[in-house]
Parts: sequence; structure tokens; C-alpha cells
Amino acid sequence: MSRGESGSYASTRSMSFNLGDGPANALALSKDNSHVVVAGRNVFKILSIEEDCFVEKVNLRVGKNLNLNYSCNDVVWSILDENLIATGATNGAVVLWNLSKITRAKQEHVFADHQRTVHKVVFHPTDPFMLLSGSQDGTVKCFDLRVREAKLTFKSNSESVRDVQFLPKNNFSFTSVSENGSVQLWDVRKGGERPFLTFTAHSGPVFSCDWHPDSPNILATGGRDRAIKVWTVTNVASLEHSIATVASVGRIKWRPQRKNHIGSTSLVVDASVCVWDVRRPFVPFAAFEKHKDVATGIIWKSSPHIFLSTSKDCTVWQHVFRDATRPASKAMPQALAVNVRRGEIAQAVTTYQSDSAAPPRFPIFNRKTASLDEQFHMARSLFFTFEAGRLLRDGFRVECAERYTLIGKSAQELCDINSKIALSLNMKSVALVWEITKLFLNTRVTEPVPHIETTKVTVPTPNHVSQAPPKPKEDNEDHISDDDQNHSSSELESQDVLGEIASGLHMTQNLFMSAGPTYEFQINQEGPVLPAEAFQHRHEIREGSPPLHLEDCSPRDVDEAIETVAVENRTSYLKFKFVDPVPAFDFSESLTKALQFHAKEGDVQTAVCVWLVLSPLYKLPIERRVLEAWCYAYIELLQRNRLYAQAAVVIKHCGVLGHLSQESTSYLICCGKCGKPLTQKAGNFCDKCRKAVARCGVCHMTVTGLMSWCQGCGHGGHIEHLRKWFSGHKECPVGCGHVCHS
Amino acid sequence: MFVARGVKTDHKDLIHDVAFDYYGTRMATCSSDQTVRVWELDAQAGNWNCMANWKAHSGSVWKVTWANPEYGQVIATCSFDRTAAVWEEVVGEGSIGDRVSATHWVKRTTLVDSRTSVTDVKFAPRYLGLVLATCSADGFVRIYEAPDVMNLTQWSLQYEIPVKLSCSCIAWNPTYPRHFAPMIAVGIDESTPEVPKVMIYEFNENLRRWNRIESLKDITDPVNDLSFAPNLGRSHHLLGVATKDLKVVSLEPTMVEDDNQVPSSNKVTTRTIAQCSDHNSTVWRVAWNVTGTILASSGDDGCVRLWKGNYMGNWRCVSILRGDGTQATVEPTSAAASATSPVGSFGNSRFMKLGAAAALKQDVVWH
Repeated sequence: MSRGESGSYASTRSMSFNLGDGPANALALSKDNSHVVVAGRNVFKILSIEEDCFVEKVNLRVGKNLNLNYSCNDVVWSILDENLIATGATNGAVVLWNLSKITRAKQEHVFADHQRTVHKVVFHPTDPFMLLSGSQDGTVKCFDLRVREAKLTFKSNSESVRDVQFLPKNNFSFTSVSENGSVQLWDVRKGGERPFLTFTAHSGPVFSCDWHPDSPNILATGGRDRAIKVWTVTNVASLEHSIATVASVGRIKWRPQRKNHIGSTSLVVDASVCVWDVRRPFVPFAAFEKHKDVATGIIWKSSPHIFLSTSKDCTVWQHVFRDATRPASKAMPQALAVNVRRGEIAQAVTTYQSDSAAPPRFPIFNRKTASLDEQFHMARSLFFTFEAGRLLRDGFRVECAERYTLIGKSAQELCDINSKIALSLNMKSVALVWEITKLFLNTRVTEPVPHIETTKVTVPTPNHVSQAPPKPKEDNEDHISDDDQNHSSSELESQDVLGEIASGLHMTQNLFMSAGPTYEFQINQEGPVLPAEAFQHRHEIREGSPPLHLEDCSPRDVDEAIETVAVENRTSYLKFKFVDPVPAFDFSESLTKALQFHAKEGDVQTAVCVWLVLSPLYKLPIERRVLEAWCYAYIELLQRNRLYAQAAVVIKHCGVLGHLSQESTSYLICCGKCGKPLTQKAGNFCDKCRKAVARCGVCHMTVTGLMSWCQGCGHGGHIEHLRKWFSGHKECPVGCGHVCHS
Repeated sequence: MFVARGVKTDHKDLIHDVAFDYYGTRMATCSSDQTVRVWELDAQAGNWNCMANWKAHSGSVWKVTWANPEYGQVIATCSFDRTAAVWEEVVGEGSIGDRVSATHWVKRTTLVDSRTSVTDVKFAPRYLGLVLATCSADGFVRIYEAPDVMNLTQWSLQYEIPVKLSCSCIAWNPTYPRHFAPMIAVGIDESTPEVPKVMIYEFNENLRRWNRIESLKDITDPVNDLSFAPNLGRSHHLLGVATKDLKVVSLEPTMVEDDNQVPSSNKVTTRTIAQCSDHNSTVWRVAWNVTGTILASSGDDGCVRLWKGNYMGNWRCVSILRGDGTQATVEPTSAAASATSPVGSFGNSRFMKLGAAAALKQDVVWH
């Protein structure tokens, strides 16, 4: 009864049988494919293969004396005698079993010729009396079943033979594969002395080999080096294909009636049984993932659609191709990436291209089968890059980033400069924004906006006069009365450029600022909120860097009101003194909206740059969160374009991301004499040497700051001292004798 | 106007992923042929030259991703072989084929926690440190951290998030964190329509664990790819999702205002703001431009489409890019074959002739 034809294949289904007694090592089918024998260390059973299940027929592991002869590594069913089964036992015995025996124990004969475990037994395809066995002792033995003795011994060149197989359609030759990675071909007629061909197939042990059932001279080998290799073996062996598997290859078996397909099991890790197309060596054609542990044996049921496998999980499975998973169909067929910097897109798409360049002749017919089976191995990726130009860089111009001036001049001038830059790059709307900003600034100076007065609550106590940093802002004064106590402390002075900008700001304000009366007026206007805040002098220190000039840090209005800062305050005095309270057009709102619009369109560049230019004078009512995101995005854009200097300017002056410049910068120092790392606490004093690390060789004082030293002897000191010394000497000032100055 | 260039990659099987580095001057591709290739831009000619090529895994390499350059030249890969790996370029003699190069790539670690294929790997945004997220077909998202950024061989598994469904892709929310907690979106490729296909996880600073805060239920088809848009001060996040069609989902966190702490939103309101089926076929990949205004998608029709939301929030296809205009330069012999055969399909996807796709949109300037 042959169920292997594709006609009956449709009714066959995947099914399993739990052996229960232990993991199986091998299985073999009877000649008519109706029964399967499964063998392992603790299991030896014959199952009949029914329509939709396995049925246990015979348990061969019976008898009084269950010795190691019953512990099987391999099993084979005679092709010619359906009652004859041979097993290779773990103790080195080759055991014959006769199913026609009437007794319960079917053991017929034991060949105890091998010294160690027998890995493989195989019957001759045509001679019913010839049996081969390959063993861990490094020999292959040929048994004659008529005389019940080992006729020939073939000594391989290695310690262990893992697989043997007769050549198909050749009655006298067989191959053996061994643990040293070599494959040997033997002729039984020539005896056991020398193989007629030896070649190294794998780096590491070869565990399995299989001759192609139809194509002559095609041999597949599988080894621990995670490869299945396909060879054409004539007088020499030449490698045709090499399949890269996930794990060491345990067993391999060609798929019947398919020229290029081979099934494989893994020795470790991977529990699935894979069927490969040798022409596509990286992706399994089909995978069968029923087993829960590694499969140990596979055998095709003479049909390309059905095979059986055993596994260490103590089960036998009948697999049907219909139920296979197709790994290739799960694989991502495309790739896509946007190059953030260059406005470029990379794409990879799958295509099916035949190597012969011949288009499929009947693409309309059998497309379905063609697309899966025939085209499977032709899958390749085409890879393209698209330069989409400005489109993708939406809102970021390197030229702008490079040429914009954001600090160092009056805000109006900056606007002028940047507007021209934008115009020269044909960015009219951006240029317009700059123009509006300038206009806005002008109005701010002359025409204060009424609504702002409500915001100012910081107490301007002109009690402290600090020297103005030598940096004239606008067109005014030299004298600064720092109105905020805050700034009277070291904070402001300790800031560098940042501080200058900030105080520049104060100058502007103070120009218009008189003392007491204004203040009182403000109080009247502002109502009772003031006193509480009068005592909030210090900034809350946020992210390690004090906000530039947010004098008002009351938590109440962290988000919005705070952004309108001192400037407005002062301008409100201005109003009180010089200006009629005519409600002027409020640019701040529209300007804010303009910036928000640009940011939304991806143009954070404009948004951040305008904000930066404005910020010393006027804080637009933009949420801190939003501002941070803008600045962060813009800084990242700059960094991606390697515009580090520009990025540093933004970090420094944006006022919200000051901590970035304090991150990820660390330096480690160690003593130059003994190499011991210096702790922060001790400064430049080495604990081990009990000395200051850097001492001047001339004055013997500790050097702080710049130090110069000789790379030859390692002594050095203050640059000036050394310069003086070496103007008259050539030797080291320490007296070590080294001629430093040559 | 765009310029399409074919690049001969010499990958021997499908290319599954391509990634540009932070500066956009290097590119990494990975393939089923188990290798990774690193390319460098020839700035004058505009060509990409392969600078390194090595066997990275013993299975298909699904994804490749670059770390921020402050950690060195580091990439991570993940593979069918159940592992993810971290590679670093070191100075020292290496070779690409017969050429000798001054650097080579060294495997720094292998992350072996998954029992099944690792389907995606992504470095976290820079502010989180050197952190790597992987997701695998067995339904776990794993988050690793290298506590010492100078030592890439030490990675500790920080969190193992059971998603319980086969994950296909993962995306970090790149939003600057001070007002949002770290967030991850996970794509599911289960074929059963009932289960949610996109999960949103958020890190809770107080509980020190990742919580699922949302699962997008209106996406019913397996998700192939997803990507967060860079957030430029928006109050909501944008997530591009590649599934049967292209979706753009907005995630609006309901903020718990808290003065100085990072707010953990615990809840997001999701809204599908765009659903685009212009590809007329499965969409496989999505990618945002750096400002988060343009979304690129790649579909089974072989085209790259660029999408942009207008001021009304309507998303429109603004451009179609196709590589076949220059296919002849890629592989002259194959041009005929690939023109007649459908591009990229396995079984369930719909076929589309290349010519037909071009006819959909008239106003694209071809170069």
C-alpha cells in the first residue's frame, strides 16, 4: 500500500505519536511505507501508519535481559526482507531483529565487532545480505548476513565514523563521513585498506551525508560547522552549494522527486525540521515546527509531500507539506530608510530574477506555483537610493545654520543680517519673519505693549550697582544698576558670555528705569501679589544652569508668564513715563504664531533662531516644553550636520537646555609618576606619592593651569619658567641629566 | 524632482533592513545572506561604497541599527538565529574581499535571551543612555542596558516585557523626555484579527517598570513596521504604522501636571489621523524625515511614497519615488525579467504591475 502518491496526499494529514518511554534516536520505514520502526536508548517500537494516527504494533524492547543491545543509536529496515531490521547499539553491537520470530523477543543475532558506539547501520540497496555499520571506533564494518560475521573492516582516517551510505545505482561503493570533517569513498571489492577518494568537507565533524536519489554524483553533507554542503563527486569532489543553517546539522535527507530540495534537522538549539532549496542557501524553503526538542531522524515517505521525523521530545510526527511554515513569506521583503542629513531615501525591494535572464514563458498560467516554488530561489533585493533633495530636509538649511548670526550684535542688526541671508537663499517667508521680528523689536523699544505690565512682579531695588560688562548693547549707557539682588551675587558675574548678554539686557532696561516712584506705581497696579515674590530672589537652579535672566522664578508661572520677563517690566515703566497708554498692535502674539507655524512645518531652524535673537530682549510667550523641544530638535539637526559650534551657541543661549553642555563630558586624570588615578577630592595631589602631581621643575611650586613638560624625561613646569630656563640651558632643570632642549 | 540610483549591493539574498547613521554619511544593510555591510558615502560622487562586509549571524539578519555616535561606531543586529548582537568598529587591519581596510568590526556581545527569532532591535534615544530594545517572535520585548558605555561587552537585561503575541517591530518615541516618559510602540504580526496589533508601553519612573498604556484596536491587520515621528514641540506624538495600508496615529498623552517630575501620562488618547491605501498593496516599511513632517512608506507596489500632512491635518501623497527608472544600471540582464514579474510578493499579497503603479499619480516629475 503506497500512500505516497500526490493523489492521496490531499487526504493525509499531520499527526503525531507520543512514545512515552524516552527520546528516539532514529526511525525507519518498512518497504511499503505502512509501518515505521522507532528506536532510541529506551524505546524500540514498530508503529503502523493509519489514516489519521499512528498505532503501536510491536514493542521490541521486551525480554528478560534488557541489556545495552536494546539501546539503539540507529535503525534500518531491510528493503528486501520486510521482516528484517538492523540496529546499531550504543555499546557497539550491531543487532539483527527478525519480526517473523514467534517468540516475543525478536532478537536474531548480535555482531559485537565494534569497540564503541555504532552510529549508523545501512543495508545494501540490492544485496539482501550485506550490511554496513559505522562506529565511534573509527571503522566501518561490512557484515555478511549469511555467514553472520564481519567480512570487511574499513579503517577511516579519524576517530569516529558518523554516517555511511551506499552510492545509489552503484553496487560496490559507499561513503563514510567522520568527525575530522572528511568524506571518504570506498569500494567494497578493494577491501578495507584505502578509500579511493578522500576530501575534507567541513571544518569540524560531519554528522550526516546523503546521496541524491536521482541525480548521480550529487552528495550532500551536513556538519557541526552549521553548513549543508552539496558536492559533485566524480574523480574529485567539487562544491556546488553551501547552505548556512542556524545550528549544527544533525540529519539530512533529499526530498524525493525534487531536484534541489533537501531536508535537514539540527543537532542542537533548533527544534524545527527545515527543507531547503539548495539554490537559496540562507532561507529554508519550508520549516516544520511541530517538535519541541531537536529532531533526531527524518525519512521521506517516498512522496515529496510527506515525511516522518522523530525527536528528543519523545514523539514521532508525520509532516505534510501543506502544514509547513514558509520562513521566506515571513521575512521582511523591503527595507526603507530616510537619510536625515542629505535628504536621501534608501529602499530595497524584492524582485525575482532568474539567473538565466530568461523571463518566465507563461507568466499568466501557473503563476501561483511559479511564484512560490520555482521563483523561490530567485529572490533578490534591488537597492535604490533616491535623492529627494530639499523635500525631506524640510525646514533645515545648512547654509542658514552656517551663516546665521545669533549673538554678538544688537537684535535689530542680527535680524537684518539674517534676513539678508534668508533672502539670498531664496527663503522669502523666512526673510519676512526676520523683518517682522526687527519691526517688532523697534516697536518694543518705542512703543510698549500694555498687556505686559501685569507680568512684572520682581522687585526692582536699585540698591546695587555693578560694573557693566564692556559690551555695549543698543545705543545706550555704561552704567548698570543691577536691580535684582540676585544678580548682585556672584551668579551673574560668574557667567561668561551668557552673563554679558544677560546684563546687556539689563542695560537696556535700566536706561529707562528710575527709582522709587515707578516701583510704587507698579505695586499699585499689580496688587497684592508682589510682596511674596519680592523675597524670591534666587533662581531655582534648574538642570544645572541658571536661567539667563528669569528673575521671576515663582513656580506659579513657570510656564508662561515667566517668559515675559524683566524687559517688559522696564518697558512698562517706560510707558508710565513717556508713552500714552494707547494700545499698540501686539506683535508678540503674531510673532509667536509665526514661529509656531514654522516649527509645525518642520522649520525649527527659523523658530529657534528668531527666538534666540529675541530672547535677550523679549521672551515670547512660548511654553517652555515647546521651546525645549524646538531647541533640542535644532541642536540635533546641527549636530547631525556636524555644525558643533552652532549647536554649542544654541545650547548656551537658549536658556532651557543648558544642562546639555554639562552632560557626557568627563575627564579622568592620573598621577604622572605612579599612574594612580587622582580623586576629585584631592585635586592634583597624589595620595601615593604624597606630592602634588604637577610641580614646576624650576620653582618647585605646584603648577595649576597650563603646564609644559619634556616628553623625554617627563619633567616640566610653568611655561614661562621653562622658557627662561631653556634660554640658557639645554639640560632638564630638575637635574635628571636629560638633555631636553636639543 | 528626484534622482534615483541603483546600488549593487552584492547581498546574496534579500535585504531586510537599511539604516543610516546619525550623520547620514554611513549606511548599514543587512540581509538573509547572514551578512551585514557597512557603506560609506563618497561625498563628491554621491556614491555609496561598501567599506565592510562580514557574516554577522547564522541566520537571516532582520534588522540593523546605529547607536548614537557618542558611543563610538556601534551597530546592533538581530537575527533569525535567536540572537541580537552589538558590533563595534575598531581600528586595525581588516579586509573586504581582497581589499584591505584600516578598520574592522568586532562583535562585542551576543544577546541570547530569546528562544525564537529576534525580529527587531532598536537603540533608545540618546538621553536614556546606551539602551537597546529587542522584540522577538515569542512575544517578549527585552530592554538591555550597557551600564558602562566604554565597555560594550557588558549588557544587562533590564526589563523583559511580556507582550504575549508575536512581535514584528518596535519603535522608541524619540521625543525629548522632560515632559514625556520614555515610550515604546510594539507591532504585532499575528494574523488573527481579534488581537490588538500595536501596543504602547510607557516607562513608569515610580514603579520602575514598563506599563502597557494603550493597545490600538482599530488596526486589525498584521503590522509590518512602525515609527515615531520626531516631535518638534507638538503636544501629541505621531506614529506611522505599516500594515495592510499606511496609518498615521496620533497619541495625545493626558498629562498629569507635576512641577518638576517627569510626568507619567499613564494614558494616551489615540486617534487615527490618516489612513492611506495608495499603495494598493501591503505597506512594508515606514520612515520619517528628521523634522517629522514627511512620512515615507514603501509598499508591495515597489514604490516609495512621501506623505505630508497639510494645515488641515489631511495627509496627502506628495511624491512617488520608483527605482525602476534606473533599473537598467543596476543589473542590465535582469531588467527585462523584473519588469514582467510582480515585485515582492509571497502568496497573500496583491500583485501590481510596475507600470500600473506609475499611472496612479500624474504630477510627479520623473528624472
